[in-house]
Amino acid sequence: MSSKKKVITLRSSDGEIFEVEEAVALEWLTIKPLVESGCTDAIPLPQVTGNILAKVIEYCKKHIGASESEDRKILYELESWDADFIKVDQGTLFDLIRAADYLTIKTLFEFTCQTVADTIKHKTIEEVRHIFRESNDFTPEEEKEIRGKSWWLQGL
Amino acid sequence: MEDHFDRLPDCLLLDILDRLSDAKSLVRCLSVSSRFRSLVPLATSLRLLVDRVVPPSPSPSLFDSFAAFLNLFFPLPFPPPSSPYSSPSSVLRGFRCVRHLDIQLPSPVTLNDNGSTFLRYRATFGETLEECVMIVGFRGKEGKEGAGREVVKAADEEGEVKERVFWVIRALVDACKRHNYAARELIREHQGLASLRMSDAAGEGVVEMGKRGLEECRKCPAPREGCRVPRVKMQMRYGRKTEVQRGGEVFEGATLVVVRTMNDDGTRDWPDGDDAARATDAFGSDGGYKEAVGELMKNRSYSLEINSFLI
Repeated sequence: MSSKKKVITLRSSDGEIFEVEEAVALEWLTIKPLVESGCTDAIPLPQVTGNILAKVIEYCKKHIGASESEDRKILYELESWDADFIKVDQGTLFDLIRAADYLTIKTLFEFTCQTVADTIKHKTIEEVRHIFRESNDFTPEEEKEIRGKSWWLQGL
Repeated sequence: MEDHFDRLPDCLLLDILDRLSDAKSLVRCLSVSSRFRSLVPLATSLRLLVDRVVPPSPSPSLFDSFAAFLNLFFPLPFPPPSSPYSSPSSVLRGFRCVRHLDIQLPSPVTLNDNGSTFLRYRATFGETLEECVMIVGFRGKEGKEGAGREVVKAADEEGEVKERVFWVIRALVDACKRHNYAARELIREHQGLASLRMSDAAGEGVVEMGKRGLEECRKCPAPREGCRVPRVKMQMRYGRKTEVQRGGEVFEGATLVVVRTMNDDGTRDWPDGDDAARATDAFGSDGGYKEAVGELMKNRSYSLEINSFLI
């Protein structure tokens, strides 16, 4: 009936090839100019692996058009879909943040960052260290200072 | 040791910290690592829950600070004699780039009673009060009158409206006190602040200041002792019974009040705006208040002026 939708080809860092509709690719601000220029070659995305790119495409396909919907049922359905989508391990979650940042996908970036922020709310210091793979690199003096003098209360 | 290449770069970590917003969680993050310690103070958006308000005190003693610090991590076992960390300015001093601040204060003293009375207000401030929309009344159920209340005859309407003035003043005082509290230190210490919102645990009142209001307030000298409620003009609308769809509830004697500050010479400071639009936008759709406002706007309005007074 309608003309065939234009498809954009993407290549992940590990050489996997993906095809997405042009409308989806146009939401990725980093590659938008390339898409608009009518480039027909596979667009290389050297910072995103195939498995992450597949997740990103899955999210964007689901969200295109639906996020702006005013139908409560659709929005509710989307919300529970999101909740399932984001049930991934910490490493994948951080990879998604990096990919969303690199490709400049606002909705995915905000969603993933907010998810991490919500996870670390009310977590102990040790748990936060574990999540972010941070190590306690304070010198014993610094640690003493932080614990004892509560410098932030003194207005430093 | 885990691979550091797996870690998020600073700018992305900061994006996450900015969305954390809860001030106490952020303060806890200061102790995670030196990287966190350098990034946390750069958070721009903060939400702070205040457990109780302490009177502005001289600088806290070392023990107080220490107890307060412990309290952040172990909220229960170390009740300090006074609790300086409850003072938002002391907690916020650790953050240098705050742009959006949302403070939730403890519940104000409730109006009465068995919980059937309600009061909601939303006030905008600059140097002083600009405008305020409030709604007060009793909750009843369809077919039942509010607990322990006589039904109000239509003829008593004016009397009822007058009775509401007490509540209105109470809400105005509450709003002005919150503003006064912020105007003393907070908004001067955080010059970059672009929006300030002060709500309370009971969801009774919201005090808001936008960028313009904050700038206006900073230009004026900090308020000295006492808090002034400015001269105001009020439009009051009364509804004996206001039905809201939600749960078949009926608001009894609901009164909608649109308050505007006047100049000292009695002229209006603000151009004649559209009361209806302001009033309807004041409350979210929760709790049926927005709906009630729509109903009340249809009723006749009473005008009232109150002169400025000092608390």
